[in-house]
Amino acid sequence: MLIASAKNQRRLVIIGFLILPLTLLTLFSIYPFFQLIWFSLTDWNGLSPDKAFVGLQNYSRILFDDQELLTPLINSVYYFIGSIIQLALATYFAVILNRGMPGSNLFRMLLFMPFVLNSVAVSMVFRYFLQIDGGLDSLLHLVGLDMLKQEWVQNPAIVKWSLVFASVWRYLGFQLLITYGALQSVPTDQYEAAQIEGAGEWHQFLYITLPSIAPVLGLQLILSTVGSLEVFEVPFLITQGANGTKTFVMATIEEAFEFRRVGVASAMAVILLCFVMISIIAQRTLFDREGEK
Amino acid sequence: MKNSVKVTVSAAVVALFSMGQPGQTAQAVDGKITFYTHFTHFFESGHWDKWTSEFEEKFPGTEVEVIGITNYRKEMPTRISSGDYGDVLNILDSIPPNEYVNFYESLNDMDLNATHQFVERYIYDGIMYGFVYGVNAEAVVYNKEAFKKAGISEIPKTKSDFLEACEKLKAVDITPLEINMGAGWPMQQWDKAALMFANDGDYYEKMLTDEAPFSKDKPYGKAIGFVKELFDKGCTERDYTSNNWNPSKAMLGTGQAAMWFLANWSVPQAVEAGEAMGLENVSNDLGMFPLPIDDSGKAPILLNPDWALGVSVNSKNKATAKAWIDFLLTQTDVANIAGFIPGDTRIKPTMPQLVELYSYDPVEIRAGTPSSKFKQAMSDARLDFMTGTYIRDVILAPDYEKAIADINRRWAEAIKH
Repeated sequence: MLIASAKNQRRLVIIGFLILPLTLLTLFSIYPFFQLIWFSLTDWNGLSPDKAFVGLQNYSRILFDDQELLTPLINSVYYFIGSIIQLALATYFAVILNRGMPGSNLFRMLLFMPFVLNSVAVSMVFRYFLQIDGGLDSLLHLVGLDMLKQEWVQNPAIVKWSLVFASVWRYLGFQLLITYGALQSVPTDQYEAAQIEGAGEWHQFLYITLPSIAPVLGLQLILSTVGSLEVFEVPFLITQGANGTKTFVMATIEEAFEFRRVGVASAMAVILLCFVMISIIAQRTLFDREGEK
Repeated sequence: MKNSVKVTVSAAVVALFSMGQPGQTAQAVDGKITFYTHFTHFFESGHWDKWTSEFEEKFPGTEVEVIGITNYRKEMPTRISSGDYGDVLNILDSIPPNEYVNFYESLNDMDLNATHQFVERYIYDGIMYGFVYGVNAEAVVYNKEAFKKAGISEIPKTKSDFLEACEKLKAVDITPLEINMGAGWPMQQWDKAALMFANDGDYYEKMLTDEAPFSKDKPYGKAIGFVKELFDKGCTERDYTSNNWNPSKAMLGTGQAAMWFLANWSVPQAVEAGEAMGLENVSNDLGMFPLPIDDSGKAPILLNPDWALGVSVNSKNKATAKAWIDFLLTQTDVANIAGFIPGDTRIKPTMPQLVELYSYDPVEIRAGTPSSKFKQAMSDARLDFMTGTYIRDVILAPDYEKAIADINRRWAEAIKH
């Protein structure tokens, strides 16, 4: 009779627990990733059974010959600016809520609600909200601000900000929750000590709150950079890329499924991945340095 | 229990057939097939139920599962690349004809070719791959009540008349022409209109030797310029960024909008949408006339085949699939209900709007098959032919001349290799 040693048993348990997540990870993340890299080196059209290896031709085409494909990346700048505003707002609301004002639970829920909603639903709602004589215009009419009425998604000068607004509204709650969580872990005795020393609200925020939540803010900055590079559903559902609101992910999809150049599209996806990794590494090194100070 | 019986029976059927002689024995019309259709509104109207049960009655032992796909051009390629795309489906125009053989079954043994039109479009290397539902005449669909309200007594015969009519409609707060730019695909009409401006159904092929076909004096440039002019004059819908295709049908049906430039297939949809708004006999309010593209007074219509039906090369019940296509196209009134000139030449078009359209004695242009070389060039130039996004982007571009120059440059580059 085989008696499993404690060590073997532990091994068995570890393998048993790991096998499911690892299978899922391999199947849906790692395998497609290598598949993507392989596609990006071919001229596959997405349908035909054979694909020819073309080396780095797709990459050189995107980066050097045909830079038109990269122009939608400029739109990410708008979303990045939006995400900075969003981060400031989220921190602001989190600090206020953390001080325990009356009804703070209600406000917390209200601010977090958009994130729980399905993002497709949010985009649909905003489509009607931003329409000509839609929700926003009606609201302005109701409060007598008719002169502020705009063609929110038709006017090329405004449309990008309208979409950024929709995006900020949706993701504000998520950032708020993370910042709020970080604030909760700041020990209150520090504030008490500061108050006794005569520090005002602003100084408390600057010298106690901000340093304590800095790592979390750094993380959020990374998340929003990545997010602004990968914006998709908001512009896709509200304008379908009209009026110059096409984003890089939309251009990638168009390249793959409209023009049937899966090879080029895969290369675009890999390039996006590289941009994301570069920005993460850059921000990590910046914040690590701050940590050393 | 029931399931296991079914399995046994079907296993027996399979065994029976595999026991038959190897080779060309005709497969029996039997078993279940899956049919991917773009006619999603036939579900609500109950037509699919009616037709499938008629078919199943005629061929006992068969079962047709109909699956509706709303954005056929976009969704089906994904299904096709997965290998699982049912038994009967439309022939996708994004697949080059030389690759049909990889995806579609030969239909040479069906005897529809003698009675069907536009068969030549789906023949490659002597193999026939598809049969069209019907033929579309690209022309203006208009709401007679809206015209009456605006005081337009006569159908515009020249471009100047047309623009004048638009102004009259605008004056009474009716959207003159819905181009449905927000929906995207309706902008493909201006890809098609290029053939009308060229007065040549095979014009696309001639573009392959032209380095600047989008310039404003060339047919393609004229077609885009035509819609650009209407857009700039405010003759089109105000909200041009959201997909308002469904609301627009009701607008035309009820006369809040006066016209659109689509084809006969769109009439039943506008009628249905108008009637859903509580109006009666909307069909009487709608008519069709040829689009006056210039001031010559001779307005053309463009005849285009609609989607064709083919059989998947992976189908396990090819005989049933073929029988279903034959049944649908010859035994049912699908083409007339959808508003087509039926593909089967023995069935006459019944729609009054088509009768009206032909009463204006229009010049008929039969659209040729765009070659795969042309389609490849369009794709290489990143112009989404028949999808409309690039036309929308050109029209919305801050600098129209520059945008045209830009697509000309891309085109010139694409035809070089």
